[in-house]
Formats: sequence, C-alpha cells, structure tokens
Amino acid sequence: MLNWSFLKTAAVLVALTVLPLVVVSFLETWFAPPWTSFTHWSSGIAVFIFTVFFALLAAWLWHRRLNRQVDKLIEHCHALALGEQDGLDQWPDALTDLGRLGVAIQVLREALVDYLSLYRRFFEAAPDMFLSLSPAGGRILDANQVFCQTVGLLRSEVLGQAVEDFVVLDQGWDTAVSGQGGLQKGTVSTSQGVLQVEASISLERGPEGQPWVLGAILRDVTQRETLHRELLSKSTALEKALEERKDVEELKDQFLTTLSHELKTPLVSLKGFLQLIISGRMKPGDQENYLQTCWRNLSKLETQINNLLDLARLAHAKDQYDMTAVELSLLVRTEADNLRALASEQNVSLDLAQVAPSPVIIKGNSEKLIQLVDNLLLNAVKYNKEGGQVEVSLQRSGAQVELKVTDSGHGIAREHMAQIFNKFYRADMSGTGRLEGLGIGLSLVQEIVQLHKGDISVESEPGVGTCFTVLLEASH
Amino acid sequence: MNPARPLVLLVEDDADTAALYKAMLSAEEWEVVCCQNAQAARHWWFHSDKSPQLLILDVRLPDSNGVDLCQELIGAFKNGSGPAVLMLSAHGDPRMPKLCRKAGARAFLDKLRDLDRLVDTAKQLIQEQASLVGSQT
Repeated sequence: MLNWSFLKTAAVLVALTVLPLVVVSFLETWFAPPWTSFTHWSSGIAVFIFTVFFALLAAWLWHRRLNRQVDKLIEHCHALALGEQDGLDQWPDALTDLGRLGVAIQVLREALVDYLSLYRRFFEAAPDMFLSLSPAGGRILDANQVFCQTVGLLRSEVLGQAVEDFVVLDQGWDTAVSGQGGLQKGTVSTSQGVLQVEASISLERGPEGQPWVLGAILRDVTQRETLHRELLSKSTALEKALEERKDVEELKDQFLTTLSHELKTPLVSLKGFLQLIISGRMKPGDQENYLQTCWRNLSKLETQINNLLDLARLAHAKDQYDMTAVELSLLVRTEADNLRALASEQNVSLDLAQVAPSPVIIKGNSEKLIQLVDNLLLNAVKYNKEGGQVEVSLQRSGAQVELKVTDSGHGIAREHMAQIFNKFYRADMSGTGRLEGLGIGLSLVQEIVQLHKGDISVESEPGVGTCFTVLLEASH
Repeated sequence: MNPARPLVLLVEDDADTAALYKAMLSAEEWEVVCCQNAQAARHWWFHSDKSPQLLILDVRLPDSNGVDLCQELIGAFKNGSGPAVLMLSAHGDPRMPKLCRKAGARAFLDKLRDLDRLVDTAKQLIQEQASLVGSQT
C-alpha cells in the first residue's frame, strides 16, 4: 500500500533546497537589474521545478526504503509472537537505517523470552499436571510434560483437544466451571489404569461476570485415596472389633452372673438340706426325701461343672481324644431309652422309627458322641410342648452319616438362630421367656461335631418345632 | 387355725430351694405360700384375701426380677405400713443389698449364708412388722 507521508518529507526537502535559491535570486535581482528579464525568471522557475521533482523522488525512495525495513521488523516480531524457531534464532540483518530500533526490540525480546522461560520452566518442571484451557473451559491450549506423559500422548496430540476426553470431574466440568472453581475430585484415564486426581481450577470473571477458565492443576492422589480407603476400612473393622469386644464383655458379665446362679442354686439346696439332716431338725421320714434332693442337686452341679470343663478341653485340646470305631445306631437307641422316663414325665413321645436297624459305624470318641446325642435329645424333650413328639433319624448316605433330631417344640426365634451355637448365649427355647442353664449345651454339641470333623445345622419355625442335623464322616 | 399365725409369701423359682425354705419356715409354725415366678406372685397378691406379714423374694426370677417385684408390690404402702420384705440372692453382686433396700426391702441375705440366719432375720422382721403395725393402730 502506498504511503503518502513521503510528501511531507519532500516538502521539507523542497523548502530546504529552494529557499536559499530564492533568496540568492532576489538579492541578485535587487542589486543587478534588469530584474524583469524573462530569461532570468524562466531559468529560476525551471530550477525550482527541477529541484521540487528531485526532492519528491528522493523523499519517495527514502520512504520506500524505510517501509521495507519496518516491514521486515514487523515480520520478525510476528515470528517472535508465534514462537517460530527461525524468528527466535535469526535477527534480520538488513535494518541499516533502523538498526538502533532493532537493537531496542532485540533487548526487549530477550527480556521477554527470559521472563516467559521462567514460567515455562516452572510449568514443565512441576510434578503436578498443568493445563492451560480456553476461556470456555473446553479445549486444552497448553499442557506440561507430566500431563502428556500421564496420558501417554505427544503435546501436539493433546493441544486443541477437549479436556473432558482426558479428565473426568466427579461433578462434571460444566458444574465445576460455573461455580467458584477451586478443588474438585476427578479421574484421569491412562494406559496404566484410572488415576484419582484432585483438580485445582483457576477462574476469572469475564466482562459480563461470566466465568473464564484459565487452567487447571491436576494432582495424582490415587495413592492417598487408596491409603484413605484402607484406613477407613481398617477403622471400620476396628470399630466392629470393638463392638464385638464389648458384646463379648457383656456376654462374659452375663455368663459370670449365670454361672454364679447356676452353680450356687444347687449348692443352696444341698447345703440347706444337709444342715437340716445334720442338725436333726426334720420330721420323721423326711430324711430320705432330703437326701434324694441333695443327690439330685449334687448331680446337677456335677453336670454343670463337667460341661464347663469339657467345653474348655474341647476348645483347646481336640487332639487329645481317643478316636475308635463307634456304632451309632445302638448308641442313639440306648441314649433315647435312658431319656424315656423324663420324656413320659413330660408326655413327650420318642420316635426312633427312622434310626437305621443295621450298624452305622463312624470313627469317633464314644464318650463325646454320647454327650452329643444326649444333649440333642435332652433339648428336644425339655423344650417340647406338652404331648409333643421327638423324631430321631439316623441314616448313612454315601460317605456320610446323617443324624437328625426333630422336635415339635416352641421353635427358636429368628433373631436367636445365628447365635445359638455361641458359647454362653442363652436363648428362650421353652417359649416361656425363661433363659435356662449356662448357655453352653449347644456350644458343646458344636465342639463335639468339630472334633469329629463333621457339620451341624439347624432349621426352626417358631410354634412348629426345631430340627438339628448332624453330618459325620462314615467309617468304611 | 391359729389366727395369730404369721403368713409368709415366698417367691423362689427353684423348686428344691423353695422346698427347703418352706420346711424351715413351716417349722416355726408360720404359714408359707410359695410362688415360682413373679406372675404367680402378682396373681396371689391381688386375688388373695390374706395379707402376708413377710415377703421373701429371690432376686433372680424367670419372668422378672425381685427388685422390680418388690417395688411393685409394696410401693403403694406408705411409712412402712406394708409387709416386711426380705430379699435373697446367690449372685454375689456387691451392689445388690443397696439396690434391694432402695426398692423397699428391709433386709438382704446371701442364699448360701447359714439357714439359721435366714430364720432369725425372718423372725426379727415379723416382730418388727407386728410392733410397727401395732403402734400405728
């Protein structure tokens, strides 16, 4: 484009050249007439025109030369602004007239480059992922090495891409940038898996108050989050353990109270009746009755103490029991017969029709197996209804022997089912709200089953009855 | 029947222990009514036309506890005008005597103490009760 400003330069040149000429001509004419000579005037005008023409030409050429140098300078500054390597490394050498201006720009450029490189170095050296984003928050304008390495792409593959393709914020980018920015939680997908990140989003307000995104710093918090989760789960487990511990303590307290009651009650009768006998304060004929009561309470005491000792022994010394071949069919019949008196006293019938007639042999400890069968049968009779039945079934099926004791009692409430085998747990089995015994009968049964590497299960329906099933390994 | 014969209400769930106490107390020519649980005791208390001079309550009962039962039965009486209460326990809980006295019991005994101590205490309570009622009337 033609720049007409050279005309001003030309006017100055003309003025500077023509003015002395005019002064000289005037003085010459004043002191040396005739001053009206045509030749004289025409030669003067010709010199003037000639001078003006050359002045215009010189000014125009001078301006063109300067414009070329200015164009080169502008072109070089553009290259600098775009960060082109050529622009950074080479300085235009044809700036003969604007050389000092070029030097000034060069100094300014170096200062700017130094200044920018500080930020670039900081950006690149950061251990966190730095992203410069377009104001609307959608596109990546710049990303540091750590980010590119994390997502496994080159910088050129990342620039201009939607940030959402790489970084997913828990509450979404739209919500995050429409608020106050700040810290957000999110994830970054990498070839190694998904990283948990904490995103610090920098925002500023646009002219109309709208949020303008400047960038985001992403910190990998995967390890911290994993640790946090582990800590949380450990603390939950600890809390649970503490609760269980409290339950155990409570159960222990309950047990001590129960133990004190269960052991002292027979002792009270035993001691009291013996005192009556010894002191002779009794009606004639009462002695035998008193002695029988003493004997009954002594047996009760013995059973409680034996059960407690057995439970302790079974829990800690299972390998000290002799295991021999035991015939279960006869054992079950004998124990059932021993209980008939008590059963008929409570009007409960004992049905052994399903007990195999042929011998059923397992490898076990006969004393403990008697205790097992006895406990199950006794419970079935004791907690039965008036006029109820107890069905006992003993069958061999394959490599296993199945013993089932089914009663028609009050059943066990659902809330007690999970705990009935727990030591010292006492459930209301009689349907009267009364908690009897030390709460070790079924724990003892379970320990005996475990001693024989067997399995025990229970099914119960309140108001209908309970069925205990014991599975033991058959002997060949 | 001797009208001056004291009446004792015994609430004890263990049949043998109840039989023992009944034998001891009957030997003193007292009339003894035995109840095996709190419900039976309440029933007798509200339906019987007799008024016992002494209540002997076991702390641990199958359907309630003796402390609550004591409060329930004699709480309505004022200034000790109700029957005397003797509470028994085999717990060995050191807080129990205080709890029982707070509930209105006049005495507390460990069940394993000497039987004569039980009878002596019962006798003493019946006498105190008789003199208290006498002075009020």
